[in-house]
Amino acid sequence: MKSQVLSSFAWTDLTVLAFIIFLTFFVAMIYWVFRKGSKNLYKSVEQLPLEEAPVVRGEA
Amino acid sequence: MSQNETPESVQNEQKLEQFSYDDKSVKLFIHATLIWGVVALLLGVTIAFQLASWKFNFELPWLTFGRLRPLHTNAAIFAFVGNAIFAGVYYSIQRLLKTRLYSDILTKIHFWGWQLIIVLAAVTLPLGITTSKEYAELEWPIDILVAVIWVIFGINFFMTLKRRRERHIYVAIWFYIATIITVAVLYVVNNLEIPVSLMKSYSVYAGVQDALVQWWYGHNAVAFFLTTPFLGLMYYFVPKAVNRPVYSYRLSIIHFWSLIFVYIWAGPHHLLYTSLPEWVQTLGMAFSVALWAPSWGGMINGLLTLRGAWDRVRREPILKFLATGVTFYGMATFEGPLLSIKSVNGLAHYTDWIVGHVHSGTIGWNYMMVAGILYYMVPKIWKTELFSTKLANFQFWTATIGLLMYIVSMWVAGITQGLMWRAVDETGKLVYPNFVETVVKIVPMYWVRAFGGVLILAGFIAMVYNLYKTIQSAKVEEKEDVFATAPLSAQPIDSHGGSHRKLEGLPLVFSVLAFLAILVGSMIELMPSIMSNKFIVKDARVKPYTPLEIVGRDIYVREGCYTCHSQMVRPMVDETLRYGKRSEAAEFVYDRPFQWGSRRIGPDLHRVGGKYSHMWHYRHMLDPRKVTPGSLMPVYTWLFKSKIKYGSIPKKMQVLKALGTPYSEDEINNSIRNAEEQALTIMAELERDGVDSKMRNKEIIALIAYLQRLGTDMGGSDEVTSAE
Repeated sequence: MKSQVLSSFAWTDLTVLAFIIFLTFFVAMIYWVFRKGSKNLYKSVEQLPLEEAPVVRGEA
Repeated sequence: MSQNETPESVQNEQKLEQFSYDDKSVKLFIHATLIWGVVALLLGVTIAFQLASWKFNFELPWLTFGRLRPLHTNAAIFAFVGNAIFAGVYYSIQRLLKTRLYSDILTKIHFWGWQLIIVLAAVTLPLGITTSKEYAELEWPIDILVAVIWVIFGINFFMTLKRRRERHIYVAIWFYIATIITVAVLYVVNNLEIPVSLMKSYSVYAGVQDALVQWWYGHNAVAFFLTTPFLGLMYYFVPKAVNRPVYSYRLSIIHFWSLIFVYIWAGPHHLLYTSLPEWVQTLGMAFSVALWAPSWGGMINGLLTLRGAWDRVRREPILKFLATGVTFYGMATFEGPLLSIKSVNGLAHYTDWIVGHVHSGTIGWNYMMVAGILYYMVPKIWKTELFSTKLANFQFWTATIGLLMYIVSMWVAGITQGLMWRAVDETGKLVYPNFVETVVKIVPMYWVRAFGGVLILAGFIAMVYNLYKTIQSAKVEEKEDVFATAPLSAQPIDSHGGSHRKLEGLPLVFSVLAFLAILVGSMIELMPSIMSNKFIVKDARVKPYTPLEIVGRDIYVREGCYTCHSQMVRPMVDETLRYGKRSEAAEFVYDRPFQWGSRRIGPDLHRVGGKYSHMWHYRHMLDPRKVTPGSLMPVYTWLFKSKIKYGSIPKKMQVLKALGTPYSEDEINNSIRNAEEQALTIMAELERDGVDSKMRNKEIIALIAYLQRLGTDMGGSDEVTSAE
């Protein structure tokens, strides 16, 4: 049955397409993440959870 | 601009905006988390004991395993974990974005709407009102409510994002965005159904297609409800708790994108060796194995954030829970890809190994993270000290030991049973031809698991007590704290002034990108099954169900038979020896919804049609142990009392016809008479065996009709060589 389905089914190339899409996506992302000049940005962004807005009224 | 001429300090002072946080809503969600946590765990313990001894089913329809198990999973996922997510997300986005939640009213609607959904689930599921699609069992009116409340959550979230006073969107929020978008897509697509009545519907998908959509949903419910929101919470609360930034922000970006891109493909690993086309199985397996990398990237990032603070992990309950949670995330995401390898899956699927795996995720990762986050949030938000560190440690050890008892007992039970099923002797016969032999063997492990569950529950109750004592010690506050910060418009833009607009538009662009990332995998996997009529080759021998069989099938769905019985004979020697001919895709084209199941607590039923007499089934449903000594099955006495609702048949057939089942108008018009006649035929045989003819209009007859039909279109159980 499976072989019947496969033989009549022309979209098996989808697995290859899936691989190509993922690889391209992954490589592009790594390239982007390590782009020049991004270091300082990440340095400041990673501090965001640790920054708290100053209290004006209250005791927190 | 003229403002550029004023000194910076003056400018900032002028521009400071005052705001407060909506912590009242966060508190509400925390209370709900605690209450539903107890309920979900109590249900878990209950069904664990029901497997250890059938007597715990108490002969009550609404307390049987088949109906409570879906309630347990729904309560754990959507009630307990769901409320915890909302509490954590609402707490952290206000602080990360330095703004109040967009609308107090929307937040209230979100909270009460979600609790209403949970209550409706708690009422309908024990009543047997279910679609039988795992973790999507709720019927259509509740589905609509879920969708509406989720959209309200989304609007509230994205509008808060729009009103932020912090330019950068921290990585935790990315995970929240992916959660909101993907859960909406998954839930809507999987729950497409046509109503028959207020509390009954049929899935628009059938058979293999339904299975594919369901497990695309089912797996990604794990991914985008139990994983991504918690990774977001991890990226906020772990740095908060140790007061250190995340180990690597770059790694978190890689973690995020590769995780959401890869996760969505993994669903078919729930369907390995089934009648699903081979290429989809291979695709699912390959991506599941690939998923190991981003998962461990995330785990390493979380654990290394604790670098230099390991001494505190020993002392502080918050860090203990968070570190253990992240460690179990690593363990569960190692075991998951392993179980997705086809040959491993061939052994593990349908056994308790999977159940153990799921709980190392939900208890090890979700429960531990929730505990850590609650121990962090509650004292902070109520401005007080934790009532008892000792009690928190007590919870930590009971939960950890209970969980280990759970996981190890399920490993032993799963591998034992899997090996017993496949054992074939030198003459080519099954070593354990009676399925129940493989059940009796693992019952001791069910007791171990149940007591492990009791420990986990006891620890949770200790936390509830501890946190309520903590809350009691807090001062009652009338006014909210007021904070001040510069508005977004006053904040400098990092490097290029020209990119201002681009950056402001980022949340939207970002959301679209995340949506595209999950769409690629979904489309490639699902579209062929939806678009192509070649996907499943039809077989003329396969005929639609008769009217009485439809009623019987709906009873099968109502009682949750799928929670213990699969309907899928895999192409393996032992399975064909035990059950009969392997299942083929064409056999399921009229199955709405599919009933392949995910666990064999009892044997597979796909080839059960014709295997036993009507009387065998009759006696079996009345008292399973009369025909199968040692069986764990509950008794179903109510099927012998409630009448078949013949009146509902024509409407059901009309809906099925609209969905593509080829019923003629004549068949629909004569359906009630047809069903009554088939019931009489079955009754005639039962009467010969001494059953009172008054039983002819009882539900048991319809169920027998359905069971006797199962898998017979292609020859049924003729090839079974070893009868049980």
